[in-house]
Amino acid sequence: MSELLEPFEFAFMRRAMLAATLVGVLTASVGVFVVLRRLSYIGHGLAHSIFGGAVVSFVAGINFYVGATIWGAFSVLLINGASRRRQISGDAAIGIITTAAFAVGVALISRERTFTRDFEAALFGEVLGISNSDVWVIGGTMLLVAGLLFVWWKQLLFVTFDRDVAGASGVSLVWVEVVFSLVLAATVIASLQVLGVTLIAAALVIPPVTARLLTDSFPRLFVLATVTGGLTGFLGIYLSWFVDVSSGATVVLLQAAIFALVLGATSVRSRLREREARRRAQGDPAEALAGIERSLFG
Amino acid sequence: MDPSQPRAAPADARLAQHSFPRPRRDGPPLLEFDAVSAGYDGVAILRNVDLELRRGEFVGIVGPSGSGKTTLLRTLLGQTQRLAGEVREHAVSRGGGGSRAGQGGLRVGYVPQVESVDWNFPITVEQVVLLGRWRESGWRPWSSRRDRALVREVLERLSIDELAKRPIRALSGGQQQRVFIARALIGEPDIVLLDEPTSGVDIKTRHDVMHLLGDLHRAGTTIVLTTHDLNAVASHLPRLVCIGEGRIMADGTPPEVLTAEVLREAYGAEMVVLRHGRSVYVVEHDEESGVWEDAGGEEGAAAFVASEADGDLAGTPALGSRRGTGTERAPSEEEGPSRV
Repeated sequence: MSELLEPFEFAFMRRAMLAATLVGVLTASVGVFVVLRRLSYIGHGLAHSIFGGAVVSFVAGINFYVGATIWGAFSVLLINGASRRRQISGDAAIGIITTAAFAVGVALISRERTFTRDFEAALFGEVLGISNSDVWVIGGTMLLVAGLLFVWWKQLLFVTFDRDVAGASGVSLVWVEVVFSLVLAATVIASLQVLGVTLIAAALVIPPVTARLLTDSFPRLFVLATVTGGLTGFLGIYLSWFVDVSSGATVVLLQAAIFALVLGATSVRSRLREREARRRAQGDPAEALAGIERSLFG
Repeated sequence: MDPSQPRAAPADARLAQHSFPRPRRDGPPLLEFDAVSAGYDGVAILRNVDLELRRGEFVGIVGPSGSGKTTLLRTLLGQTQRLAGEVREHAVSRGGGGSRAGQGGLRVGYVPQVESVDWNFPITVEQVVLLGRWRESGWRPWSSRRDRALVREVLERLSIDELAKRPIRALSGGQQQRVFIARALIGEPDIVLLDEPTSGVDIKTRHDVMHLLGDLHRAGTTIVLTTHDLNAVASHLPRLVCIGEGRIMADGTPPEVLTAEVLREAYGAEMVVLRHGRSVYVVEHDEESGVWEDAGGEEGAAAFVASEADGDLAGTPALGSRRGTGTERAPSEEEGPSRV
């Protein structure tokens, strides 16, 4: 029993578990909008873009969080602007803008090899080395994002579901994009140290997609995704203590395992319902129709 | 002469025989376009458009693909770049907020084509309709009891109240269209704009949607819709506006607008206008197959028209009693068709 509580004895583990839980909630809640906007690739691209921004901030002597936030939000706005042009698709815009921004960082690092190690942490995450001030930054970011999502909830949902009608109904599309860009950039930046550039995309996408398998209601999807994100963040770090695997990778692998489990369970449930519907179809036709409807729509 | 057969007659005389109601032009003005040119990225799609819409009207916008129908609708929504001219809105002043699209405070309820959204989106019917009250319901993410009561009311009005908790992916085409109309209506709009409301739906759904719109119009709602379907939809409406190459080619009742000359100019194709009693039916000749086809409609439209002898859309007496008007029926020399 005492072995199970061992991770809690160390301050760095307690900080890591708290930070990963907050980051799990943060990425999953923002990820709901990312996934439903069919921008799953944006998290991956944006993390790379922000890495470039972080290097530029370092070289220019600007505070990392300020510089990277501006760089990241600007990248999202550029992606949105470019993909509105008929000739450029969304994925192409993400590919061009984020890799170019990443390349700026790589180019600067290749000239200034002295800070290579710091940026390895940004690339692969270093949650165990997280400080109290980092936890405060993550907590503050979560409060900011929660506040923005709370106030802009209806507009974000409306634009995500039906952009044209939202605009026609008076929703300011420009402001929604600005808020979304800011929220996404802040989320990625706050998550960098916990998950690293390479794993953030998974944390943004996997919990909402897992929740999507379980519900057809948007509010329920949001709650399920954030709970999944928070739990997997906490458990991932906790388990990494025992399995001696990179903490960020453990979080993402745990999320992937839960996704696979839910996918399997929902597939079996659908098969059983179809079989039940077919069995009933041999009896009363009206009951058969009702059964088919149940199997399709729950 | 057999009254059930179409006959050739001078255009004016024949127009006088039709009992299509004149468009209701007695209501107060709602929206006026004065020599408006509008488009995107500085390129004009609509050119020099003069148009007046009055409260309580039911107007169909017809024209070929790329003629500017959707651009006109988007200009009404305030979503295009106005390059010249003036738009005057005359909104009814009322308390509270509203869905305001244009600069003049006109409340517009917009119903896009059903395929414009992802119907697998995780949202229920009630939640979709509530979006139509995003501004009135305050800044809290959750809806108030009053909001939910209003949703119930509008869903009951459209006979889909039992679907309130159902996910939208579980809806039929007609139910999807009703949900969109409910979302438009809950904002208490001055005008409802519908983009191709009968596009891609089966005959029964089209019938249901048009009757629903007819009911809304009779209850006083101002409606503007675009349609490709000249026979099953446009010819039943009180007022039509025909657009071609970004200009208004004709504006009036279906018999005034659906003429061979107007259609030739707008569509660049020879069409034949059959007239019988109060009905107008447009056909075009397919040179390859040698058959006469329903112009602008979808498969099965002719059969729908033939079966709609007693239909009454938007208060407009629909087609006459002659059944059997079919797409494959080439009119003989003797009986017409009459070219207007």
